Amino acid sequence: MNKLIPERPNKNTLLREWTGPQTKDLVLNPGGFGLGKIPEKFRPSATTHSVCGYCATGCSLEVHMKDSEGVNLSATKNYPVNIGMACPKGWEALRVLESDDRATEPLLRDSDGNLKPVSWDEAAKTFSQRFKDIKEKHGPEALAWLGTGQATVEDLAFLGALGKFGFGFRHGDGNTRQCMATAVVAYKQAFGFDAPPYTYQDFEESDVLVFIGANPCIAHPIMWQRVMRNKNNPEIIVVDPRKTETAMAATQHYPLEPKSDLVLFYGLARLLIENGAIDEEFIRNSVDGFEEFKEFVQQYELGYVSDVSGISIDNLKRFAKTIAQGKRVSFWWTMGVNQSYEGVRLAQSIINIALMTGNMGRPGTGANSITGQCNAMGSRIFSNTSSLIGGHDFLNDEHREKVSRELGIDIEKIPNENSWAYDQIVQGIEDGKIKGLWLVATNSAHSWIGQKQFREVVKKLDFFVVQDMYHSTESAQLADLVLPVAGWGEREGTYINSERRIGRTRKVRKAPGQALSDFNIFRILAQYWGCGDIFAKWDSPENVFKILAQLTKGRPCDISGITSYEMLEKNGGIQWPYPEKNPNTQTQRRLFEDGKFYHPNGKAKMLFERPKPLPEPTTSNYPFVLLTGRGTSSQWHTQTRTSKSEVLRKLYPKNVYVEISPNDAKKLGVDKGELLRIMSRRGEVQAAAYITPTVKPGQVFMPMHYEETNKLTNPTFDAYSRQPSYKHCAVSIQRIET
Amino acid sequence: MGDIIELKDKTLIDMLLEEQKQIDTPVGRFADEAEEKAGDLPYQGLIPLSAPKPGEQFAFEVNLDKCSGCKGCVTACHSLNGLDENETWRDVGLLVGGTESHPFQQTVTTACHHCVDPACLNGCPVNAYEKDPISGIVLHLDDQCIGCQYCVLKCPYDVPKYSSKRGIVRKCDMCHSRLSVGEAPACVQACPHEAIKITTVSQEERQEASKDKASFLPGSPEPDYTVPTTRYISDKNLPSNFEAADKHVLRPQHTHWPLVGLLALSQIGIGGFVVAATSSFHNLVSQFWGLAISWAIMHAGLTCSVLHLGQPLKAWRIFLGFRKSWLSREAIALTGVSGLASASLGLSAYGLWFNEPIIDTSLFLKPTLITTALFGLIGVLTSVYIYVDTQRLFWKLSSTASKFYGSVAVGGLAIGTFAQSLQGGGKLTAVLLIAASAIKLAVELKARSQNATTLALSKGPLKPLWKARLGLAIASGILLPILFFFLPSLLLSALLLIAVTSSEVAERVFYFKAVDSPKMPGSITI
Repeated sequence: MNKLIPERPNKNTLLREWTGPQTKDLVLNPGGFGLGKIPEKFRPSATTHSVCGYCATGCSLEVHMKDSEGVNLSATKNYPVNIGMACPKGWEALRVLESDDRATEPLLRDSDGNLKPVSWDEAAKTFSQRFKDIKEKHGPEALAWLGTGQATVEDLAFLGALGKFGFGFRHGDGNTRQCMATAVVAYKQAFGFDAPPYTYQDFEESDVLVFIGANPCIAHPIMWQRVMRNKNNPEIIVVDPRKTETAMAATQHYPLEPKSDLVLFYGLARLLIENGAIDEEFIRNSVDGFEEFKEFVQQYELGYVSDVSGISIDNLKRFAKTIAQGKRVSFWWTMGVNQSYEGVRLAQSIINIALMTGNMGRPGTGANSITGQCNAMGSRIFSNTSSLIGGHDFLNDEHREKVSRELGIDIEKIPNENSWAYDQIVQGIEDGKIKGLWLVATNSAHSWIGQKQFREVVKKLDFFVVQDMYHSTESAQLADLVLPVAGWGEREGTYINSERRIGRTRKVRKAPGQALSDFNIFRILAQYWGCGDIFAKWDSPENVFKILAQLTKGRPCDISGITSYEMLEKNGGIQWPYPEKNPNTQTQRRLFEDGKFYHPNGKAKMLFERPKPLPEPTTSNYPFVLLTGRGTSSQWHTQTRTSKSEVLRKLYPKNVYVEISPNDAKKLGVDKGELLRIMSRRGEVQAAAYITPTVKPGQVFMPMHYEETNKLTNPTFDAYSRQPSYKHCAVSIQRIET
Repeated sequence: MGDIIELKDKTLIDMLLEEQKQIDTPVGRFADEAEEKAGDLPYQGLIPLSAPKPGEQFAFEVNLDKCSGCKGCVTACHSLNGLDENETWRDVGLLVGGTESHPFQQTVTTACHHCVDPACLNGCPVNAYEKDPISGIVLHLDDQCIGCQYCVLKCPYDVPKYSSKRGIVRKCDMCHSRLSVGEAPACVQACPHEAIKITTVSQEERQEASKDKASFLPGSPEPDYTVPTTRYISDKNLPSNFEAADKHVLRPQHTHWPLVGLLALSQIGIGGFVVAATSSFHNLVSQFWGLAISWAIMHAGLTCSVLHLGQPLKAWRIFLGFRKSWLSREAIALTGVSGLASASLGLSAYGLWFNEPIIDTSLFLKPTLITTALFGLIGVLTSVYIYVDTQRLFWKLSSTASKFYGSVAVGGLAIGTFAQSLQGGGKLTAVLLIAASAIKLAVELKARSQNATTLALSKGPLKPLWKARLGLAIASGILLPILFFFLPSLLLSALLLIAVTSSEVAERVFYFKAVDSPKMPGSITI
């Protein structure tokens, strides 16, 4: 060992105490397991690896085990995703499990309207009885669940299979509708399958990276790590109305007018075509619809695009030139694109540029949607909501037969039509069509774009079940029955990250009280409902994983070559596809290297459409555009978990704030930190002013982590993906007279 | 509709509840076999290869262009050092500035700056800080610390943090223990972008550089006071109007009740002795009761100071820092004053109770009193310098000295008035009290208006406190003495003494709560 400097003295003298109980509390010693020095008090007897349960980056955390319980953690050094790094949420992942707010026993609302503890037996009986009553009275179309991208592949598959095949719920959707439905539909239509094509290595291999509506410095800090490791001195272009942390780190920032993005990308496409910056061979071999697209974008001439987007003609030219000159150009988007009323076409406008410039299927290229939640990608394939379990299609009879055969489920139980999307389910409750709702690991009463509507309509339900780690969420407080769940770190399973990598998450802690993993809750509910026999083989997460892996055979997401959890761990996670026969075993894999897409003719489709008018333009009564998004990297979604760590709480503002430009603040006479009243057509909230030139005049920004924000947002949806358009609505701002 | 199955499912529930309590992975199965090969670790380029030479030391270097604000460093430091739940040794702040067309924001990671001339170390009364002779790291000796928290007031960067649970202060030690074996500090290891580095710097060079007050970091305390060694580097042109995102946030500071008690009461008591030494009381009774009350108030103050300490049993080492620490000097001085005051009181009592004393103590009393008063005034000076030495604007020499000696004056005159009213006197001291109070109040008003932070605090969250202080000052220093002048009575003089004491306590609470509190830039604070 390299003795760089001497250890500090450890002998006491009469006048100087160098050591003692206080000093020993912080003593570090070699921890073994390749950890280096770590606190003696947490010296592990073993370590194990578990994929983090927050965002879709899918970092591996090394959990330090003492007396067979996780006591501390660090970031796994040799995992191909995070290479020894983690963000604050990951570092504090164990801490949030210890909270007084944990749901530790089932709670049932009694006749006085109070939630009272009951046994699991009574909870499961009530669950079955009440939902069956509704089904008998109103039919299966009166039942719906709303799931999540936070649970494991096995949990989501169980929920989806149980909900539709076992219980016969007509409708099921998930909070993933709020974050990546747009990318799903855009990819399905363009590539023939929902297939984000990239691997994280592409961040390092590009010479031009274009981030659209994405702030990875805050939302995906460990992906940003990969950008910073890029050795090509790349051009980093950020398209975002705000000068975000990522925009600060970019070499080019284009602060476009909010929602002028579709015009911008059509305009860029026209410029690129005009300049001959297209890959004709790739287009010939791999793309359908280019000529029509070329024709279509002719109307987006430079002056018009500049007027609409607010980006100067020179800058538009520079943007196009940078793409044209790049040898490996990658395009990355997140919620700024997905959460839009025309998000699907917008995502496809980006895909179109990647396709026509030949930036697809090669290292450092791609039209790449970065996902939000740790298992949104798993939900896309296995949740049995918008697509039939295992990457199949409800409308395809062959697929239904295959699923029926593989899972041993009567084909009659497999619906042959799609179920309602989230917003349609909420509307269904409002219209009295849905009478029973089961909410699993999500917090709609905070996060849903029509928050007020959601809080109102659940009162119309005959029965409302919330299954969550914490009894304190806004949604759990409204429930008739609360089922207590074991959280991340208290259960086994797998997640699929943004680059299609399947990784294992592990049980390293005992769940508090009577909390059970979602998986085990589903087992109990299946038994009590009387459909346990269908799921007889679904007795452990790993067994379910094996069943699911076989089910994907022949689909683009074929993972039938993955035979055990151990195999996942040994390989540092495995990206799909990984078929049984001749799998490509490389650690970093991207799709479409052969220029073949999933449509029957092997080509990708270019899709486009005239931009729609803004659903809610600003007016003299509502003169500001409200933008929403993430606040800090130490906050996650509705904060049900991140608010439980004292350290994380220190790292984000306690109360809701609104970012406003110095110009507007001056006009309104607003002081720093002053409490303001923000009003939209949906509601009114108060938020403190944070005055910053990083937002443009006429725009304000509020982080989504505070429940106030979605009292304002406007429930409009993309016509194809039904994803809510969180990022734009009109508001007015007033000082509160003191 | 299926039947609801009863018995066997109860067993399923029991089985699954039991399973949930088991972590069934045997230790052997997942014990990682990774070898410790420090040389292969990715951060090896981020720490020096050799120990610093004489005149050099280790320092943090932060590349602002690489810091993305993920705050992983804060949490990694917390977990890898095993800190308490609410304890953080690192923080990430935010600077904002620029113009509408060129907006600018910059996140800033910050920890202890391991200063060349560490204020914490210089102020520590028990030598619980050590500037490591080889690495230059400013180490804190947790078991030596008596929890006086003076370092918290001394450090302009708000680095040492007091734990009331532990009764001591703790702070960043640059992971000395890790560096000693060639491992990088936790924050360095954990930064995804390699924004934090340990470098070797020349102390003389840092000293030179710190003379340029703008050389450290915008929105941060000026570096010439302690010569911080952290270097913030950037290839960008940082805007001239850069300021901390939390600059406007008003933070009323800790009241430090024991210190309020110590200062206000010891000064009032010393004032009593000064008045006794400079005037002749009407008779022995007045003299004795005047001294007794002065002694009691002073010692109540001294007792308060012990309550301030997190580790009072270790306080006997408090003299150790006398070469540098005004706190040590104050402790020594006030201990001396206490002895002299007790002697004065003893002599006075002897004279009062023994009408025909064997020894005529009156000969000794006056010199003893004068010595007590002189030492008392020196003691007050040490108190003054404790606060002046923190380099805070509101605590600068002129106003602190005026306030502390002002307390001596008004306190002494109030005691004098009371003692003399025992024998029907006290009008002169009452008149002097009005004058002293008016001067002191004028000083306070000026000090408040000269300091933007104090002014804002007193108009904002501390408005009630400031009003209370003003009201008490006028009542105790002007109205009551006037009333006493026209209607002298023992009761009124007692009331006057209580009012003056309360008024000085209120002034001292404001002194602590309304002080400007320098720190590194913070993030959005709502």
